[in-house]
Amino acid sequence: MGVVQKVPVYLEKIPGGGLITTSLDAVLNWSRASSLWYLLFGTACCAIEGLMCTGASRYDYDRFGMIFRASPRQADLMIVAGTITNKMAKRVKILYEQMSEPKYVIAMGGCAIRGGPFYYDCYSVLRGVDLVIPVDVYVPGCPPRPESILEGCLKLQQKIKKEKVSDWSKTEKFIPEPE
Amino acid sequence: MTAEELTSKIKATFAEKVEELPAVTGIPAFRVKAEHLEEICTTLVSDPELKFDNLSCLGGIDYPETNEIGVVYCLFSFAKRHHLNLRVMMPRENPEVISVSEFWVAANWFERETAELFGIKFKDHPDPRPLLLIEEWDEGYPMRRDWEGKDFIRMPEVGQEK
Repeated sequence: MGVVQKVPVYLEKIPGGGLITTSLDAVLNWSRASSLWYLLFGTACCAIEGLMCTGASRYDYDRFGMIFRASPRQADLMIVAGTITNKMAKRVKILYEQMSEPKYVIAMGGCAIRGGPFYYDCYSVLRGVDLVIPVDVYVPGCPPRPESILEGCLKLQQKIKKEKVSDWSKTEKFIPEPE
Repeated sequence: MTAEELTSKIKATFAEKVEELPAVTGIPAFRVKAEHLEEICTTLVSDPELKFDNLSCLGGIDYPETNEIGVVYCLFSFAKRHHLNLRVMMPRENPEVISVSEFWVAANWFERETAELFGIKFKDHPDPRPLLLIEEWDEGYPMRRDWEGKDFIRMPEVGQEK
């Protein structure tokens, strides 16, 4: 880990350091949650509903600060929209690893959660994208309504706002307490 | 040409090489033996009254009860606006048929898919690579009726769901 990861731990020990870390928390979390740029990653029907329709003018992603980016290097959110086959699973992992930290994943639709309608009687579908990448928010539906997807994005924003700067020195990924 | 004219023309041209099947969809259907397929396709493409220049679909079918595996060809003619279906059935042990990608280029990918999913060998195929399954696939031919894979979860019967 770098030197920067250890700074908040030492900051908290100085008197008045807690004030700095909490304001740093607030600023960083607010800025990350308010500008989640999502990767254009859609394989099937959920891509039309969740990426294109929800991103268009009636239900708008841009009012939450979410703009689509075509390259994983420039994105920090991956909305996995669509059925993931075994052949595609390897490529999903490669794309996830190319995104830079902090990165979040929303599994959208039945197919990305547990294989959806293809759970039975199918030889080539991966039963859930969380078998290859860690998922933050699951949005059920086939396909989910745009309002559901926006609710999922808002839940992700709430999850981001609970992150703490003092967790930088921990090696495991942050998992918030359930409400 | 209408369906009846087409049926009689095909029967007249090829005589005993084709066997007529009941045309359930209104499209004339014929059963062909694998060894006659090449000459039949040559005639179908080049004959000025038939002129089947488009292959709409090519797929595999499997009947384990009669121990047959086969390929279905759906042909269409842009010039004459008529459809035709052909069916080639083979024994299930070693299915082999000539590749029709020299007549219709669309058959190239269709045949790659059928070869990979059913195990049918297409002779003289210009590019016999697998198309859809993962590169490390070693579990057999998934679209055959008697295939069971290790991750395959079959739909439970109605009333038996846990």
